[in-house]
Amino acid sequence: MTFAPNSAPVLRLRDRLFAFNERVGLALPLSVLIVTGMLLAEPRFVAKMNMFNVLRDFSVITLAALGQMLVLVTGRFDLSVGAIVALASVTTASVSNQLMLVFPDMIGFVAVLGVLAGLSVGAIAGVGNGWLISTLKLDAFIATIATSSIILGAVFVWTYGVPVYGVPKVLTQWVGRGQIFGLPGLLYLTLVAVFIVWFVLERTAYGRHILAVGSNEAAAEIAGISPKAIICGVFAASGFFAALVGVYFTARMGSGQSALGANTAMQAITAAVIGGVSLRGGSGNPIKVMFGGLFLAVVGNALNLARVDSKFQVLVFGVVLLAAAFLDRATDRAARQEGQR
Amino acid sequence: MNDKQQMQAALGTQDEHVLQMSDISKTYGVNRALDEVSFDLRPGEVHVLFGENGAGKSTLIKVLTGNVRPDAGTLTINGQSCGFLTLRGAKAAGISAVFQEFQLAPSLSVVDNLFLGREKTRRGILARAEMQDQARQVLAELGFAIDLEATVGTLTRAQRQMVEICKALLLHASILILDEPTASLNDHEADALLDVVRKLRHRGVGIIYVSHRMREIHEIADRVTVLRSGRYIGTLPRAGLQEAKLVEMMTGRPIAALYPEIRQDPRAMRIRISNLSTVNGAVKDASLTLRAGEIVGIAGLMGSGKSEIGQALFGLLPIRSGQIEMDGTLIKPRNPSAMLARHLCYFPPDRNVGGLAVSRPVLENGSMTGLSLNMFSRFGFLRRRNERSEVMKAMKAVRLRPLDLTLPVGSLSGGNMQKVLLARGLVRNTEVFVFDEPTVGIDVGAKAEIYDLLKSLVEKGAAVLMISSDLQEVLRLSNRVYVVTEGRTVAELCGDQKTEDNVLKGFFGHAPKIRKEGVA
Amino acid sequence: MTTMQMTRSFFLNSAVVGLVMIALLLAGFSAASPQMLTKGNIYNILVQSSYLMIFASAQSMVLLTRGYDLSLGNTVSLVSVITAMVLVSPWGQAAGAPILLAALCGLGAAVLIGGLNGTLVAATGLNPFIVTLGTMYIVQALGSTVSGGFPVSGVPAQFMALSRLDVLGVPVQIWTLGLATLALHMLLKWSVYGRSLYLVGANPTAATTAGVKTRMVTAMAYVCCSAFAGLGAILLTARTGSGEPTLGANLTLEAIAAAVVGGISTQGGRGGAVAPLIGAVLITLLSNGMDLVQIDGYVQQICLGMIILIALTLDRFRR
Repeated sequence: MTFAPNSAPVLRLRDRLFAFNERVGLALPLSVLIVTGMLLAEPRFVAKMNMFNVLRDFSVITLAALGQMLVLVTGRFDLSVGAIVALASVTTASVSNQLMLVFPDMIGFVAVLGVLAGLSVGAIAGVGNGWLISTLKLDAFIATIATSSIILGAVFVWTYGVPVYGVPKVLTQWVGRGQIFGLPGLLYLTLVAVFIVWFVLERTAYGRHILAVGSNEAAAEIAGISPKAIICGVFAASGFFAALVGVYFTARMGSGQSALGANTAMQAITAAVIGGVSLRGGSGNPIKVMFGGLFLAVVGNALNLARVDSKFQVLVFGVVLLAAAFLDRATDRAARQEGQR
Repeated sequence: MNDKQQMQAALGTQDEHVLQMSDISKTYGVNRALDEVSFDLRPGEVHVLFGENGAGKSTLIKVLTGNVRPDAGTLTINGQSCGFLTLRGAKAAGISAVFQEFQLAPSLSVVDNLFLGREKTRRGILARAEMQDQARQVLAELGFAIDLEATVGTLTRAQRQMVEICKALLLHASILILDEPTASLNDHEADALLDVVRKLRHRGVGIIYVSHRMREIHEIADRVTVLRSGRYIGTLPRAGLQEAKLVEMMTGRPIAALYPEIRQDPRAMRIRISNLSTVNGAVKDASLTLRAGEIVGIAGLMGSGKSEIGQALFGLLPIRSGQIEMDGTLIKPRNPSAMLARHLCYFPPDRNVGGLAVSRPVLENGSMTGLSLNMFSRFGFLRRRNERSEVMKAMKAVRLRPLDLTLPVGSLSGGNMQKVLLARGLVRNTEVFVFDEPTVGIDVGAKAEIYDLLKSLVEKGAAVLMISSDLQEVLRLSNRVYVVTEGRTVAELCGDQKTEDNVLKGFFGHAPKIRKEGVA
Repeated sequence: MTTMQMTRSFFLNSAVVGLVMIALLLAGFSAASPQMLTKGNIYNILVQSSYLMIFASAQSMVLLTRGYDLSLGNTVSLVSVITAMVLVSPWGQAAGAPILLAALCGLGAAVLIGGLNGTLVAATGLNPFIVTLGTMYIVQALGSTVSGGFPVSGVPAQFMALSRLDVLGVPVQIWTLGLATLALHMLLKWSVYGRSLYLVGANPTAATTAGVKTRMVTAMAYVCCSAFAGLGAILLTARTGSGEPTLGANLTLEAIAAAVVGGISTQGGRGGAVAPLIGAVLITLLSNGMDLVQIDGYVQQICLGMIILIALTLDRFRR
């Protein structure tokens, strides 16, 4: 018997738009558009300091969005990203602070331990989220709001809301203000992270399993994949990336702060949605998400340069998010009709 | 099980059993799904499992695949007693199943799905070329042409079926379970599939084949085992297979006793559908008529669009073109409430998904269709006493057991859930009933009760459109039968033309021409 | 039903769990602090819970349809700011009935937000989380821009007096508590709309097939939610005496928490009118009691998180 592969001729403009969105996504053309627009219209955009800021914002948003994307791919949400940023920041600062008293001559070693402590605390908090959601099968959205409340409460009890000073100089110099070829060090880290996430999703069995759990959890389980392990894994990754952001903030500010990361979770979700990650799970492309991050960062910068009140800027992000979600929905509906035929 | 044993299983002689299940029992709550059922399988044979929905076939299969843990009984594979199987254990023992509900991840590609959970890797990196080679080999062996990189979500049902079968074969199964594999295939596809089954049988694979289609059973069955209400009824050898005998074993009563004699008395034309097509493309060109006082059946394969005709008529699916007339006037079914107001009610096939709010009580499910009626509410507030008495009346009419309006519907048996669904048509003045799979998954007793209800509705002058995959039911209860293939009504059968053969011919596209206007 | 099943379902009954937790907290706190059981303090708890109860009721309507309203907190802030600005504006005075006009403007804004949420969720089938996240941003921007980020003070004394009324010697908020619960009960248990809300939440496809106008019902849930939230915001503004752009900062979370703790299922279609009442009293009691025994506010935040997790877990086992 023979089956021709589904090759419905693409005729209508609407269909063509959907096909384009499927392949390339919304984020790349949007970010190209806004970057070009800024280059043409705004001379201050290319100023070195400004570029530096844009790239830093881009890196921070993209890192957090990568973790969020993995969680969204499994069909869930992680709203505890902001709390984990704060937790990692305070942990890194406190641990390196305390260790400096013990090993005053081994600053580098102390800094590395501090960073490791921050990152592992983030990953552990993520595993905790994953356990609640996979084993107790709690609603991911409300459960991560609850764990946010717990984590933030704990951070405040620990620090009384006061910044933890005394972060090792190496950290502020190398991580916070580090530059390679005149670009922020964090940018390189972000690009590497994008590549790693892409590689894991596309080239390893574990990545296939993440996509499968998001696409059809029951089928994945029957195929011998443990959804629990996958869900714990993606939440751990989300926690880890959030912690990375937290450590970076600590290094940049020179102190551990509990008020950091308030907007990070929302920015991460917005970037992921603009980056075309389906909210029903099963698909996601880190490269598109990266462009989602770039778009958000440049829009923020444009609004700043235009002296739009920062209070009013959120409105733009709200509209962008709704528009992206709407397009995601529209293309999905088209895909489903295709499947029925 | 190691490789050596697998080899033995594959080369096993005819008198040696690859599988023996004895006295397997499984109880869900008060419901006995399996009651001391025994079953065996020899290498290189096709053993058909026959029975109604709910007879215990799927539970038996799930025991084999490790999805269900039985309460009692023994299981022997290749002469080794192996206690009970886990999902992993079943796979290790070479058991592989293709279910009717596909176990595929729609957003992944074909090749990803084929190797899901057992991907080939080189130093942790997916060995894509290797997987594609293997997949291509199996596809070629089976004679399927599917694009390995296509996203499964864009494939047709038949193509997905092929992917499932390839998946099972890639495992080198020694026991292969096929659960109604031809339910969504056309003639050629089904023939090709049967060829594959013969090929596998020749290779020594033991095959458990679930099917209702006599044609297939005649062609490939070596033995047929019949189950009914969770009990083992008997096993027939290939010689001496007779349809009447099988159906009698399956239902536990002579065919005539299950299906009531319905006095069909077609009167005024209620519904006339001409050249209907839906926006989603599932219905392409459907025409039919329905009169008061008759049952009109619609037969079709899974995914043929038969169900969508009912949905479009009820305003659940947007219509692209075509006309619907009700009592001689053109209508546009905008939404269900408008159609309910026209005294037409559609009863969806899947009680749990589309039909009932299972966590809510019988009362609320029963009055769902009537909330806007003056009988049930006034000024936006419910008239709870009326509601209770009307729903009670309807539930008594359908003989709901237990007759308790406060129970959540999810706690009832399939048959009683179907009765609650049916009662929704009775709480308001319904004259045209559209049933989609009215007896799927319910036991014989409940089935007979539903048929009696249909009989009394029709004989009181209601018009009934019955969309069903159960050929016996459609053929024996309907006054006329339409056959639907690929969204088109390709044949209208009445009187002596109503035979299984004619329906199947219609499915596969060489049917007698459709007549313009059908009155028996 | 066997005895065991009955015992099980009794202890999983959300009202019972809530009341038991309230009793335990009362016992614990009154042992630790003699002030706990004074008439003044009990009044105080009830007065405070009356506001939270209104917000929790609002959120419950949406939760029943398997949605959330993340914009609730910012809606409260915006309504508070708008109400106060109309009150202090010259044309508020000129209209003759400044309080009525201000309240109408505030409620009108709330209904608009609810209408936007409802339309987007019901008409386009977008994920309610994303929709209300988007409108949350938008409403937040509007609230802080309109007010310039500062409290709007100088509202007339008559307006503030609304929150100090006593009827038959009982504070007006306690009346509100009782009447709002009763009204919600009437709505959910006696009205066609309430019934449709449960059916849509339990199984939207089945409800549509049975002729329920699922989209309309869902959209209206968001409108009702915002309208209730707006009403609560006006009452709360009367109490604080100024329009606060950050009035609702924690309210989204607390309202969801109170509803879920009281027994509204996050899976839709489950939970009654007493749920927001019990949940609100429980959460208020917790923070009031911890204040009395001088437990840090941040520890209270941890406890709130824990309580939500416990409530979610119980909800799991109920199914």
